[in-house]
Amino acid sequence: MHPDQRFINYLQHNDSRGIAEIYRLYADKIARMIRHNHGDEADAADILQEALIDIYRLSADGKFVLTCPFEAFLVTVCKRKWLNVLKKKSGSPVTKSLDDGFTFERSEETEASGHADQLEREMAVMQVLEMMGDKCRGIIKACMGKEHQEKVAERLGLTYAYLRKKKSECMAQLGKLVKTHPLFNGEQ
Amino acid sequence: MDNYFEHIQDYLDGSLAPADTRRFEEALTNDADLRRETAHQRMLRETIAKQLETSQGVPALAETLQAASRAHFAKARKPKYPSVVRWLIPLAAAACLLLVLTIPGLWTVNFERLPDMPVSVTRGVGSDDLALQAAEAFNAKDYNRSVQLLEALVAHDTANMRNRYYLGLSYLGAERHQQSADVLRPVADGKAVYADDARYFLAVALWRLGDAGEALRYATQVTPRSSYHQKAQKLADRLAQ
Repeated sequence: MHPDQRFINYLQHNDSRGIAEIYRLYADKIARMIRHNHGDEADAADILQEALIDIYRLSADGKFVLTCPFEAFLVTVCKRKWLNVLKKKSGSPVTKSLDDGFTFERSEETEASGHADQLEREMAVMQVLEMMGDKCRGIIKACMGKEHQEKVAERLGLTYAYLRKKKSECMAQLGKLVKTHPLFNGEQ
Repeated sequence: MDNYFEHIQDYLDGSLAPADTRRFEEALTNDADLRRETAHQRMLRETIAKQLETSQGVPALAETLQAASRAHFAKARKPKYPSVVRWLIPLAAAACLLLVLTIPGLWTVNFERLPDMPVSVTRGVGSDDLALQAAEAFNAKDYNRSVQLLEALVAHDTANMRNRYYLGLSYLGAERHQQSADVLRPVADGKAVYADDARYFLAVALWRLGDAGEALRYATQVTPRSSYHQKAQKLADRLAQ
């Protein structure tokens, strides 16, 4: 575990002083990177906030272990987000490297990329789930909590046998859809 | 294996009988495809369970982040336009207003006219494509489609006020006034940057629902900072009649 895990803990515990420290240490660096690449301060504020929420989502169950400096991870996430924005903007080609101002060890970059990949894959799973039909999406979400499956069936007004069958069908469908997502193509 | 996926789900649920669990684990040892599929399903379940659970903490965190962001960036913020341009803008606006007011036939106000949803500010790795499609549908006035897409985005990220705002507007465009009011009300009552504009469109939705009293209340809460301030005043005048 990297000593910068404390920044992850600040997000997990919604620690306002810790979060202020994150902004104090990193916000200007992120803003500089985005300003150098066709963005402004408002863009930087949005990107940074979205990145921190995504990192929270990744780590909020307490199992995520940071293995690189927090700055390397945060910069990688912000960089990818901003590249996605630039791709969507017509007539705004990236003329400068988004690496401006940052120098990380190769091993740190690799670790940060691995964390960012994991984050993107989790977001992709949720994106695919949200695109599924109402019934499957509802059943999957209802079944993923800690509630006993028979109780879930009762709450949804279904028989347990039907819920069990439908859940397996829906999960199979979700599994297939996720495998066709570009981030999971290698798993087919 | 019969009922392949049901067995995987039952195994991951821990609801197989001990003998069936042993058989399944033996099959896992010998069958690489089953092993891969079970691992994939386990990953899906863990991801969804985690994301659903953590989404409850997002609104509170988003508030803290917004406060930190405002505090940090306010210190560094400088005026965006030179001072001459700054005083020219209201002057030009006044001139335009004078011109518009002197042209006959331009007094009719279309209260329900919706703005464009900016495409360039859509972002977020997981929901980026969806947000882009939603913006395209919204701007093409295909509000039924934008409702569908924005509902998915809102379910995915409950803290995103922008998506909620445009979902409320999509409902309004689709003439689903009650749903529009239901979605816009928390945005209008909140502190997001969309709150002011949401108050105007909430007033329109409530007006269409026949709730003139509430519509008037929200229309009069639209501040001069909103580009809908004037329209809100006109709507309020009409509602007060």
